[in-house]
Amino acid sequence: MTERSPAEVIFFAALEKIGPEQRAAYLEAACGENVELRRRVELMLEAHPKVGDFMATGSFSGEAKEARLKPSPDHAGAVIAGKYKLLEKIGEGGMGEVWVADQLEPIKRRVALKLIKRGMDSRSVLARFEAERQALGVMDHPNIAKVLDGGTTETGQPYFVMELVKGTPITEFCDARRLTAKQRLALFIPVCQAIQHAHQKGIIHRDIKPSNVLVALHDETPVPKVIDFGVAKAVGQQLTEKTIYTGFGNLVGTPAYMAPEQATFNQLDIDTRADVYALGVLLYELLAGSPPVEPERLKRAALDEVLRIVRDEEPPRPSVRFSTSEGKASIAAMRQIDPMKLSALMRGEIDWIVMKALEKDRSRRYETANGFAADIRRYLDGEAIQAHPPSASYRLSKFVKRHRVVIATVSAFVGMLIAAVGISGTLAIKATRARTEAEKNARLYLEASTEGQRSRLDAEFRAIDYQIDLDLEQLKNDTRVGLLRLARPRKTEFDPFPFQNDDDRKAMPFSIGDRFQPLQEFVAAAVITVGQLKYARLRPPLTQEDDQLSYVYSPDGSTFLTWGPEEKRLQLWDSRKATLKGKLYEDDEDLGDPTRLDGRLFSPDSKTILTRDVTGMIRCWSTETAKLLSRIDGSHSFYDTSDNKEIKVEHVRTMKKEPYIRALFQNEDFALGNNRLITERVKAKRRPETGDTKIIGQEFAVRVELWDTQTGKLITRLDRPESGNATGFRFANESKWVVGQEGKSKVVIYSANDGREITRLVHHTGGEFLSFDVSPNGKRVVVSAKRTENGDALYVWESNPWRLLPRISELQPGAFRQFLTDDQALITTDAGNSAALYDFDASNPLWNLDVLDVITKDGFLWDRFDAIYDIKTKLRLIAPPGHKFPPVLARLAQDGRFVKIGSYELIDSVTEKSIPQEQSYMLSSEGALVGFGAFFHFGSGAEYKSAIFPAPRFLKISPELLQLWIQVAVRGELGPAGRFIPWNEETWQKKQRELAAFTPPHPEFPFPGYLATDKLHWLRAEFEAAPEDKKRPLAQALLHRTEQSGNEGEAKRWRAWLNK
Amino acid sequence: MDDFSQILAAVEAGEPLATEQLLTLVYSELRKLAAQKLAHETPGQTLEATALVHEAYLRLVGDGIDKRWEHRGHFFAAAAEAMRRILVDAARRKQAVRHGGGRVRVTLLDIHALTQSPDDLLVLDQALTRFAAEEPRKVELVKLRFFAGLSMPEAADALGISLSTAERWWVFARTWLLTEMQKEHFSE
Repeated sequence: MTERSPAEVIFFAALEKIGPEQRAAYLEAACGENVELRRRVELMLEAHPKVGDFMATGSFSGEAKEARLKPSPDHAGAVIAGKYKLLEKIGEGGMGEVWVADQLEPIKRRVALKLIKRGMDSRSVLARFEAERQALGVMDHPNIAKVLDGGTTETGQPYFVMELVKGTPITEFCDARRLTAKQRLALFIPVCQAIQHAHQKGIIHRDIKPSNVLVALHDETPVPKVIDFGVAKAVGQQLTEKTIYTGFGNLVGTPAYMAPEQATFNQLDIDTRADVYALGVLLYELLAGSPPVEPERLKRAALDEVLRIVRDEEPPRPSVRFSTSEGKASIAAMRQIDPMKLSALMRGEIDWIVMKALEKDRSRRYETANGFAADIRRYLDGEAIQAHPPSASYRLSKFVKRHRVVIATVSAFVGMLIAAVGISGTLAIKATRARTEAEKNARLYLEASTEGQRSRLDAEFRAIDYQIDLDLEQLKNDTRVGLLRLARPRKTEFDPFPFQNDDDRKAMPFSIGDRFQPLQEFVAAAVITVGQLKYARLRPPLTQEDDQLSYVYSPDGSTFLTWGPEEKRLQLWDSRKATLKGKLYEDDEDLGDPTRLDGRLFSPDSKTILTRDVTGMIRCWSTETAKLLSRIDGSHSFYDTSDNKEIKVEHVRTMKKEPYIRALFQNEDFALGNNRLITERVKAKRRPETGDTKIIGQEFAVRVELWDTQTGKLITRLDRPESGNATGFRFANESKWVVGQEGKSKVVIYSANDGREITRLVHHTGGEFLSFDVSPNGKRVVVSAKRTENGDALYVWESNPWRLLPRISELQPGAFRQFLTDDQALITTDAGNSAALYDFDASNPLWNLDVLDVITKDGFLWDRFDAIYDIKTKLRLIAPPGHKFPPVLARLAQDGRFVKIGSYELIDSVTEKSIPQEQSYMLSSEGALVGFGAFFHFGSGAEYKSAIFPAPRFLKISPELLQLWIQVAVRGELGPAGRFIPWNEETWQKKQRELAAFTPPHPEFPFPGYLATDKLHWLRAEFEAAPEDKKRPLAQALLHRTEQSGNEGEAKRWRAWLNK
Repeated sequence: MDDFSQILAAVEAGEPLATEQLLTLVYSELRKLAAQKLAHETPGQTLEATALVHEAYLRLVGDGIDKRWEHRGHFFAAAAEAMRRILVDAARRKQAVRHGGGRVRVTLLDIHALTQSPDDLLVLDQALTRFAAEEPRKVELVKLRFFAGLSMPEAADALGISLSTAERWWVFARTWLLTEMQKEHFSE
C-alpha cells in the first residue's frame, strides 16, 4: 500500500545525511544518471528548512507564502529597512511585537518599533497602514508618543516606529506610587487632553487601555503618554465571523475596554466617542481597581458572549464594584485610604462622571474627551459637575429596549395579572412619569435633528424605539390600551442605505431593515405566545456539552431522545419545556450504552419508546416518566443495520403490555400491534395517520393485508388482481383509503374498510411512475412519472369524479425527492434542491425557490436566502422587529422560533442570546434545531456544546385583522391621544361578526374574547400545562372565575370537565 | 439523504460511475453552501474551505444517526476535489475579471470571498497538476489536507495509509510543491 517513489526515498535518505559533502555524495550515488531527479531532490533539500507550516494551516495566502520564502526579521540584531536595528523584544500582543530598536540613520536614537504580525499583512492592510501612518505624523502633543516612521520590511511586514516611552502602564504606576483617588483623577486629565488632540486631528485611538497609556517621570513629575495611536485602525479588520473564528487576536480593541458600538460586526461607525468610552473604562479601573467587566470573566466567555456583555450589560458603578471586590483592602491601601471611605468618596459624583463616559448609548456620553476632562476638573475644583444620576425612567426605557421581546410577552402576562390585581398608586404614578419622559424624548428626537437625511432617519428610528417603549409601558399599565397601541399600524418601510447609489445597493446581498419590520407580527407573536396556551412560557434553549449529539423526535414532536458519545445515557426531553424527563437505563449504564443499542423507536402515539440492547432484550419505556414499562426476553431478531435505518423484525411472539411499537423498515414506517405483534408472515406494516388500529401488512411485494392491531386479527386482504410489484402502500384520505403503486405505472386506491378497489390511476403515456402523494382530504392525487430522457412529468388527478387535470409541470429528470400537498397547493422539490409551490387554481408556480433547504413538519419552508414561507398561508414570514438580524439570516426551528445560524454564530431570536458553540449547527430534517459542535477539531481546547430549542410560534397577521382582533378582545378602541374608548355591547357584537368574517391566518388563531383582562388567561395556561392529577383545582378556579364574570359559555365547559 | 447513502454504497462497491456521481453531488452541495454563505457574509470575507466541507458532510451524511465512518474517505476525497475545483474556478474567474472580463458585481464579490490570492491558488493548482503526474497518491493527501481540511489522522484514514506514511508524504509533498511554486515565482 505504501509504495515509495524514488524521489521520496532519496529525499528522505538525503535529509539524514549531515553536511553538504555527504549529501552530494549520496545524491551522486543514488540518482546516477538521472539529472532531473537529482535537480529536483536538491531543490527540495534546499527548500525543506523553509517549509515550516507552508500550506499546513488549511488556508493559503500569497503573502504568507512570500513571507515564508524569506527569513523572518524578528530576532535581535536584525536590521529593518536598513536603519532600525532590533535590540530587545519588550512586548507581544495580538497584533504584533514591540521591540526596542536603535535607529541608525539619519539620526541615532533609540526608538520603539512595532512589528505587525504576519497574517495581518495583507495588501489592504498595507494600504490602510500607509494612509494611517501619514495621518499619525501630524500629531504633536506632549502626552502622545510620536510616531516617527513606518513602512514595510523587506518581507512585507508592516512596522511602526515610535518614540520610545520608558514608562509603566498608568494603572501600575498609580498603584506602585499609591496615588490617591484625587491624584489619579488629576493624572487622568492630560490623558483626556492627549486623546482630544488626536480627535482634533481626525484620529481615533480605538484601543485605549492601561498598557497603551504609559507614565514616565520627567523631573519627578509623572507624565502620561498615550502610545499606539491608530495602529488599531491601520491593521484593523472589521469584526467578521472570520475574526471570531481566529479568536481575539484579530479583534480591534481589547474587549474589556471596548465601547458597545465596537462590539458589533460592523465597525464602520466608530467615532471619537468610542475613545471616550475607553477612557471611562480606564478611569473606572484607576479608581475601582478593575475594569467594569472583570477581565477574568471575559477570558472565560466565548467571543459572542464577550461582545454581548460589552454591548448589553450595564456595569456596576465604580463604588459598587469596589465595595464588592475581593481585594477591597489592598485596592484601598494603594489609594492610601480606608476602604469604607474610598467607597463613600466614589459614591455620587465620581460614580456619575464615570458612568456618563460609560453610557451604552454614545449620544449620552461626554461629547468630547475634553468634556470628560472638564467634568473631572470641576469635580476636583469642587464645582457642580455635568453628569447626573440616570433617571429612573431612562433606566426603565433602556431596560425595556434591551429586553423588548421578552418584555412584550412577559408583560402581556404580567399586564393581565396586574390588571387583575390592580395597580398600586405609586407604580401607576411612576409609569405615567416614565411615559411623559419617553414621550418627550420621542418628540425631541424628531424635532432636534435637522442636519441631513441620516440624522433625520436616525431620529425617526429612535422615535419609533421610544414609541415602542412607550407602548410596552402602557401594556404594563393597562393591557387593553397597551395591546391596542402596539397593534396600530406603523411606518415600517425604510431604506437602510439612503446614501448609496443603486449599484451599491444591488451589490448588497440583503437589507438590514430588521428593526422596522411590521410591528404587527411582533405583537401577534407576543399575543399568540400568550394567547396560545400550547406555548405558555418561553424557555431558554437546552444546551448540552457534547461533541456530537444524536437525537430522535417522537412522532408528535413532544418528546425527543438524545444520546451522544459524551453523555452516553439515552435522555428523554420535553421539547416544549426544554426539560429533562429522565434517563433510560439508569441502573445499567453498560447495557444502555447507546452505541451498542440496536434500536430506539418511539411508538406512533409517542407514549412509549422501545429499545433493544445487545443481549437481545427489548425494553419498553414510558416517554412521560422514562420508567421501564415492560421487557421482552431475548431471541427476537430485531436488529438495526444502522446505515440505512433498517430494522427487521423476523420473529416476534405475543407481547403483553406494550401498546405500540413503531419501527422503520427500509425507510418506511410501519406499526406493530397494540397487544401483539403480527409479524411472522407479514414483512412490513404501515400505520394509518389517525389513531386507527388498522395496519397494512405487505408480504414480499405480493400480498397486501389489513390487520387490526387491537385484536391481532386479519381484517381483509386487498383485492389485487395483480401479483407482485406492490409498492408504497399507505393509508390516505383520513385512513379511508389504502393507496399503493401497482407495477410500473399504476396507482391503485382501495377501500380501507373492505379492501376493495376504488379506482386505478393510469396514464396513457405509460411512463414509469416515480412517486405519488395524496392530498390530506383525498381531493387530489399527484404522481410524478418518468416521461423522457429530458424530463419528468407531474400528473394530478382530482377525485369525485376522478379526472386527470392538465399537466401542470415539467420537471428535471429524477426531480422528485419529496413533495407535500395540501388541498390548494403542491410543493415540488428536486435533487438540485430547487423547489416550487403550485396553486392548483393557477397554472404557474406561486414561488420558485432557487434552492430549497428544508420543509418542516409544520409546513414551513425556506430557501437558500433563508426567506421563510408558511406553506399553509403561502406567506413569507418576517422576523419580528426589535431583532438584530434580518430574516434572511434567520432560520426557523420546528415550532417557529427564528434562529440565526451561520457557521460560527447562532442567536436565539426570542431571548436574543448567543448560543455557545464552536462550529457548525444544523437543523434537523424535522426543522427542530439541534446543534452540534464540530466533530472534527482543528483548533485547540474547544468546548463542544449542543443545543435544542423549543419555542413559541410567530405568525404573520395582517394589521387590520390584528387590530380588529385586539379591539374585540379588549372591547374597545383607541380614541384621539391614545385614550381608550370602551364599546357598548352592540358595537362589540357587531365587531365580533366582522372579525368572524375574516379568514384566520392559522387554525389556532385565538378566538375573540379569548384573551381576558384578568387571571383567566393565566389559569387556562396553567390548566393546559398541568399534569392530569393537578388539573382539577385549576378547573375549579376557572369555573369560579367564569361564573363570576358571567361568562356562561365557558363556565359550562369547566363544569362539564369537572363532572366528567 | 437516501441518494447520498446509495451513492456512497455504490462507490464502496467500486461502481465506476458512482465516483463521478458522488463528486457531482458533493460539488453542488458545496457550491450551494458557499453561495448561501456568500449571501450573508461581508464582502471580502474569505470562506473557510474546511468549514464548508464539514458542513456539507453534516448535511449530506445526515443528522448524527449512526454515521458510517468507512464512507468518510470517499466523501472527503470527493469533497477535496470539489473544493479544489471551486477554488480554482473562482480564482480563474477573478483573473478574468481583473483582465477586463466580467463586469458583474456579484461575481466579483463571490470571488473575493472565496480566495484572496487567486494567483497563488492557480500557481498551486498548476504545481499540483505537475505533482500529480509524478506522485498521484500524494496529491490525494494534499487535497484532503489542504482543500478538505482533514487532520493528519483523518487524511491517513481516508487514504488507507498509516499515520507515519501520511506524515512523510505530507512533508515530501509540501516541499515538492514549495520548490515548484518558487520556480514559478522566480520565472514570473
